Amino acid sequence: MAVPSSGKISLLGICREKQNDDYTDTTAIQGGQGGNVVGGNGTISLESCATSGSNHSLQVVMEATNTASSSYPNGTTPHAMSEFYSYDHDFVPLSAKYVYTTSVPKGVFACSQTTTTSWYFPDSTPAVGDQVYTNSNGSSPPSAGKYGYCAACLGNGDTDYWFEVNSSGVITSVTVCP
Amino acid sequence: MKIEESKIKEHSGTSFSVTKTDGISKIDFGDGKWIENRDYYGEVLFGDCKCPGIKDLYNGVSFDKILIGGLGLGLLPEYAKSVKNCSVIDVVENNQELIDYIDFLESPINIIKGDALSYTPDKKYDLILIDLWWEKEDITQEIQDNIKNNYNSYLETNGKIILPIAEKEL
Repeated sequence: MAVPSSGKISLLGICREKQNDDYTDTTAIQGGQGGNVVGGNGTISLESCATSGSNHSLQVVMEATNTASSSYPNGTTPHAMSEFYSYDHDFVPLSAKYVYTTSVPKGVFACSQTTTTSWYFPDSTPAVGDQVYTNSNGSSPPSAGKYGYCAACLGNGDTDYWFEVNSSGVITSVTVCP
Repeated sequence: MKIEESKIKEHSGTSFSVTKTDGISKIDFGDGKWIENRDYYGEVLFGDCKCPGIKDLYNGVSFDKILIGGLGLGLLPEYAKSVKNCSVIDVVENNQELIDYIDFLESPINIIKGDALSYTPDKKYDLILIDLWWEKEDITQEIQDNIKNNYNSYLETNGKIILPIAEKEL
């Protein structure tokens, strides 16, 4: 879970997001030097969260800030906890693919069709089990059906794979076009 | 080449239903098996597409007499008539409700009640096209062997049996 988008937030929560990938994960926070906060091998501070590094010897060395997150601290002084609103340390940007978005009854009908728009996949190689979205922020899955995509297109082109998604928008099959 | 929409009536039956959305008819057999009245259906399954795996099946094939296994929404026989100008178009279908419903196909299209996997023709054809399945995984080797054994002697010289969904000529 990312840092909340508004309201009261805690420095400890921010630290947990940075080191545990989850604002609410209470697992002992491990610093870059192997110590943990509770054990005393370093302390946390807003500066250490915002800059990742250990500017002061007692601070836990944080992981680098994920600048792919839609919101992230700018790393420059003055630091502010509000810069962490909505920060998602383990956010992975979705990969766009050009898709023929007309649902077809048989997979072959989604082949060699001209793509019409981009849909978004976990990475550049769609596979069974992948969650698909019709928007880049990952909030809108497609309807169940069989669709086509172009594997290497940099713009709209002809589909060379067809895939099927279930009612949750999760891929159940991927097939190269004949 | 699709069916003229005005010819297709909405229908709610026991084995299928037909509905129209945004002016496009859709026949739904349930279990995710449906067909829409769209141009691509005949184009792709007859290889008139940018789909090399199916297009290549028709390389060097000329046909005037065709037997089609599976009626669906009637898109394949209509394509054979209107685009391929076939003079003999026989369609084997075992769903009587579907046969009764598809009342808009005209001569030379002839619908025969029967099982397309075991039907015994009374003539020879240039092309036997079987379209009974939704995906190639549905078409086992045993099914392919049975089709070949059933129809092989009802092909004209240089005639072909094609299963487009399987991208195969038998």
